[in-house]
Amino acid sequence: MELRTEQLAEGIEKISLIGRLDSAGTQEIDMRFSALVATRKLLAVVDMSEVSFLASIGIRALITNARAQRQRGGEMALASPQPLVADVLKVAGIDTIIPLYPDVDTAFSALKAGAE
Amino acid sequence: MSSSDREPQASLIVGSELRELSRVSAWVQDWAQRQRLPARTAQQLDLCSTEALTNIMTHGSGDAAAHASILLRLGWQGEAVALVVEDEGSPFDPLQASQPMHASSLEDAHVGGWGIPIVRRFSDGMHYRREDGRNRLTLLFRPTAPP
Repeated sequence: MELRTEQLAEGIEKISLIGRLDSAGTQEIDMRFSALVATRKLLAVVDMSEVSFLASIGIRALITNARAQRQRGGEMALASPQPLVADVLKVAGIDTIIPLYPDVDTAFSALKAGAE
Repeated sequence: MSSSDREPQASLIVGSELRELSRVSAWVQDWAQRQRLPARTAQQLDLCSTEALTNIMTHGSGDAAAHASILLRLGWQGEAVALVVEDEGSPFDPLQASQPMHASSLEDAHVGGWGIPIVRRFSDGMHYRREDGRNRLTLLFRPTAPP
């Protein structure tokens, strides 16, 4: 599991998750993911396009970090999940509690509009 | 595929520890590939086996069976793929387990408890039996052609 960050315009950060968000994968990125998202206020879009597998343990990490960011006054959005990953997000009802967009560009525009 | 290509049942024994999940996933994917399962079915099998095992491994801790082994079997039941998971932990019927509700806000969302809902959603059948001091969970998957 890999985690890459990229600074987009308007102070919005893109966090790309790459690999399987299973037990081992989530453990590999969990500390860095939390350090990035849960320790300061920011607007972040998590690019899920290269997440090939999402297990319940990964759901836990997504909800925990999105909630921590919301409590800091910022927002963590999700973008571009693969079909099976999108279906898993729906099982946990994440699609209605964490902003979810079909692609990074749409997420970027929405985060930017929300900040204005 | 024709039924003549189908291999006899495969089995795997793993310890009741989360670090075994990678080995289980590799085994499931390898079997799915040999059986030429559609990609979606293989993914569902991978996902459901991960969740069923995670449940046993995390809820079994604390009892004497925490370090016991888990037996997995994969095979065909007619046109369906059957994954059978057996463990020696305390009796636990996932079909009777309460399921978390969808929250209306992120603040109220349940971070855990989604394993069984995932198994229910992505398998095509679920059976549980307690027999000879063992939990036996059978999950069925009906391979579907890609849309």
